[in-house]
Amino acid sequence: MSAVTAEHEHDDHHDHGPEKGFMRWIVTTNHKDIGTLYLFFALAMFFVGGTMALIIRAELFEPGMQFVTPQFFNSMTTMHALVMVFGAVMPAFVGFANWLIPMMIGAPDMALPRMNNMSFWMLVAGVLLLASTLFMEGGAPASGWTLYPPLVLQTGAALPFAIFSVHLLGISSIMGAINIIATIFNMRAPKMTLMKMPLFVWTWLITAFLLIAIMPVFAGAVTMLLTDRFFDTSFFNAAGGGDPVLYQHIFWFFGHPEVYVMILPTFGIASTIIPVFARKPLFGYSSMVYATAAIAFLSFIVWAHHMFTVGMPISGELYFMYATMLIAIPTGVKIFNWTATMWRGSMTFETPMLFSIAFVVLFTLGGFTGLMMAMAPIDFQYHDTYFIVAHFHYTLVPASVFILMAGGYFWLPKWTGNMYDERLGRLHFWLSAVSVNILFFPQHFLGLAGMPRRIPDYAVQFADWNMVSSVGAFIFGFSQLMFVYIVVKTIKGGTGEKVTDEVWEDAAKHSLEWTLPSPVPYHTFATPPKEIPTEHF
Amino acid sequence: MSSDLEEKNKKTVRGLLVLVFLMFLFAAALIPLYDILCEITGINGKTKKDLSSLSYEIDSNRKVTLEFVTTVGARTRLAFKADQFEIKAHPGEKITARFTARNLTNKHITAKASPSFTPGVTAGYVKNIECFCFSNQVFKPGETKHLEVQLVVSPSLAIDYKQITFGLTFYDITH
Amino acid sequence: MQKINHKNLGAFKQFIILMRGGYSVMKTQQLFAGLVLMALSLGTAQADYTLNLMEGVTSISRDIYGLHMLVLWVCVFIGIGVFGTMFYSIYFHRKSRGFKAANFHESAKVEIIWTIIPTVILILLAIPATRVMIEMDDVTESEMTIKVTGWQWKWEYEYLDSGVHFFSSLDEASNKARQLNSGIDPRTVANYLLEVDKPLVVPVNTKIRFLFTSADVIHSWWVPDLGWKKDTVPGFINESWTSVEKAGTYRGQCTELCGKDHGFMPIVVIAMEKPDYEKWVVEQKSLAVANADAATKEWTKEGLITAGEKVYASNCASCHMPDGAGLAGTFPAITASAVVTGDLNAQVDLMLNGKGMMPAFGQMLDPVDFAAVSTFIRNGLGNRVGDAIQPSAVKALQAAIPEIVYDGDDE
Repeated sequence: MSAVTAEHEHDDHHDHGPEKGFMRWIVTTNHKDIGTLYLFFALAMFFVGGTMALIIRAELFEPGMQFVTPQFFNSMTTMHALVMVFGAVMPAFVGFANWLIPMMIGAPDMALPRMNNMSFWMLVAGVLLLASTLFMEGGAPASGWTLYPPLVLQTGAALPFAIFSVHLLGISSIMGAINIIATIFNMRAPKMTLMKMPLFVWTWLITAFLLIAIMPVFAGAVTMLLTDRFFDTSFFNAAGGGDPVLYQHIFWFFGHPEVYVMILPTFGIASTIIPVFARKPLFGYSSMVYATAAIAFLSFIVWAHHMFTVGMPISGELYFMYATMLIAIPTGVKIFNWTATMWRGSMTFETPMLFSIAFVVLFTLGGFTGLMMAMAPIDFQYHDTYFIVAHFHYTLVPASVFILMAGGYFWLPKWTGNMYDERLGRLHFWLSAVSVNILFFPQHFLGLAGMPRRIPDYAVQFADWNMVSSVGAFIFGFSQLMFVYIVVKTIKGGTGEKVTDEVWEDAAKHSLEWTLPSPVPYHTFATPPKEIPTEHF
Repeated sequence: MSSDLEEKNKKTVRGLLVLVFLMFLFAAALIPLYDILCEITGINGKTKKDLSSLSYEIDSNRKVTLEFVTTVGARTRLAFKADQFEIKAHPGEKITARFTARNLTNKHITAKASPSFTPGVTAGYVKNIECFCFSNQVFKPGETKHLEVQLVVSPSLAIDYKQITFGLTFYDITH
Repeated sequence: MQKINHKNLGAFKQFIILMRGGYSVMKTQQLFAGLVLMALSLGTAQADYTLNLMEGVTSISRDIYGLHMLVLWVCVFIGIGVFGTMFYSIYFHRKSRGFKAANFHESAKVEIIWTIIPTVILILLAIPATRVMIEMDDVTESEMTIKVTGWQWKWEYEYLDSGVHFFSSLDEASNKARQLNSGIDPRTVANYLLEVDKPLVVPVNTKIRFLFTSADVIHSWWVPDLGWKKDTVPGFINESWTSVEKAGTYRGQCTELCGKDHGFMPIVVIAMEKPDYEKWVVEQKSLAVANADAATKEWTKEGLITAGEKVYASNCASCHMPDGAGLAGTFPAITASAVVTGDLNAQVDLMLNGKGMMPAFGQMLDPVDFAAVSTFIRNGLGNRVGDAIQPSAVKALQAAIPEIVYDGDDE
């Protein structure tokens, strides 16, 4: 097949077309199918994790215990975090990577298609195993997603299953990361040099290396928990002479880069969408690449800022404070670059752009509170309060999740050939953007006023803002059902209007996938493209 | 897929798998690395047996106060107290602190004490010659033990540190 | 010797000394920052405490509050700049207004400027933060020491200088109201979830050193008005200090997830004028003597049951429920329990030494409370065994264990 359009027309007769029926989705090695699987799985888990969040917010709607026991509440906070991190946000970005990286670099598929299939199904197995702990004796893990010992060692029958599920999720992530790196290194179109890759590809390349570096460390840490519990070792168990704080060091050596695994691809998608709707090239492409690399590097040397209150010597407190404050510099560069990209552009505000702008604004708010907490002495007040809950939700929900939505609206017309309902999309955006702030902004006040995190009930002076926050949570949660409706409607034909190959005005100037027909054929770039977009350079 | 590309992919995968393996080793190595780091910096306030201190010269110009604080872990049925609250001594001088622990049950108890210094950085300067926390202690029903710790404060401890707290927590590790 | 000491100070220590010396230089900057803040915050001077960090009652807590406001306003200024630019652009540089896109996409000069300016701001923020951090770390020259031990789910306080020692847990009224569907409106409970049976009492204007450790899992001791929290880590000692400047009652909570009742182990600190504090210490000591006496006297069954009800509420009700019904599958019921209605000695042994999730109450209760609660559960909560155990008998139980005195010198 040389001409892509020809392939598209003969899709039905093609030897390598999709298998018929259900088995297509089980055995598929096609990057687009696997991308779709990842995205739908992530969307489903987004609602599972979201339901847990609503159970939490329902209990916190009023002071007093109305719905759940404290133990179950702790299980909910723990499982909500694990499901959202490992089941929703990370898989969603892997889904986008699968769909887009081969098309963006002009490759026919991922480098290791069979491994690709395996890493998806291992993810499903891992998440199902994790979910099954909810029904075990003693309940699901309830020690927070950080699984701190010695508390986590008090978990009931669920502990070994939760740890095994972490192993599965880790292996799945590592396989995904290897695949992405191999694809980017070996399968780029001839003219696609590293510094000409779209930023989404760049951010994923760096993210994949982060995953390879941290997942084995996390696996190692939880394995030691397992031996502490069942084989009488004392790595972390104080009773046998172990050191619980050591676990925290190892966990956050994994955990801090892990949060960047969720934000770097976010940066990538934002950097892809904003220039298209500003009708201007991205400002400072190379500084964006360097800033991403700098953030990734810094993420490895700041871990103990999660531990300012565990009793570190003053030298440690100061070092981790200075190192953490440095992160503000490359992060600032990114925000300034996005602003400069918009500056003197010719902007339109379709749903993907709305979500992207909201991302820049609200992620910046999360960045500000991050800077505040980087300052060690003040963190002695902020630590483990609702202030930090507000902080990381601002960097995850109106940042990562909004950008995932933006990406959905942005590429869905390309993938399906149908236009989504713009009016509904905008309604979804405004509902989400308003309610997410009703949900999380008051949590800053709660934290500053002295409400600790992870408590199922609270003193009455916290009642008002908790009620506001819960109302926001329910509006936000139910607004997301609109997204499902819009996606399904688009797949089924959308507004009826067929989209052009470019979909968005001049999008083909920005990235290769827009040079392909809409909907994208099952197989693309069987021969690599000769020319690549040069808009950025 | 051309065999050339396949070869390239294999090479990349192999390289990355080595990286994964190295990171796994790194995670395992963190335990001993952390111990070494702690020994040098004392950041976790732990202590190990160290006989080098016996040859220290005594610094008679100043005294350091060592406080002894005892704790019993949950479900550890021992009464455990330091016989003295504090000892003032010159750096370089050998200090012997005494403790008493009693088994409050009519069963055998195997217990181990976990030592800790604060400020943590001083741990590297308080040398432990002998401590009952180095080994498991077996208590017969109702048994009272008199236990002992021998310490020397290094003369190279910065003069800012005048007070060091030595904490010991007993945990029942009977199975 | 002195020479060695100075060498050992090392670059880091010298840096700290430098920072201390540099304090006066920084004062000017702080004054400036303070003036700006004051001008800006006039409108919010009466700010509701539920919106912002509290200033607290110690020099450290005020320093922290100052830093918090400083960095907050720095963020507000940067935010106004960035968002202002962005929204200007969003309003004016839109296609619908016919704005034609420019095509610039690189400028080394601009990139350098917006790398350097934040760097300078960060350095200016780091300087006062370092100073406060160093001050927080300095526990020297304290006048008294209190040891705080975290337990699931209560706090143990030991005054190392005066020997006063007690446990502090959630008060009875809050504990009843916080049960699932208790039917009690938390708004009717005074200081709901922020009240304890025995508060920590401290003197004002006294440098108090706290030592922190834990008996089981990690907890964290936080009173916002003191300006900090500190983790209590099992097997480790942490320290921190405070000097409360104003008499009053200050409330806080555990801030490290420590299991089921993490949300229900508050902290109450009462700061008293020094003479009042001295009086309190004397009272506590005589109370201890009275308690020891009470343990030797003969109690009536009714007296034990009445006393036991209170002990039950603050020690047992959180798991076995205030009505003794327990929690199916997790915590056994007291009512009609085979252990409670069976052999007294077996019951007392279980309560003294614990088992599984059950704590060893021999570690927490004195003989009077222990005997009282043992008697209460056998004759209350729907049980009618009819017997009673005297405090003296509890003491005797302990004494009945043959004491072997072993001289460990040769070990």
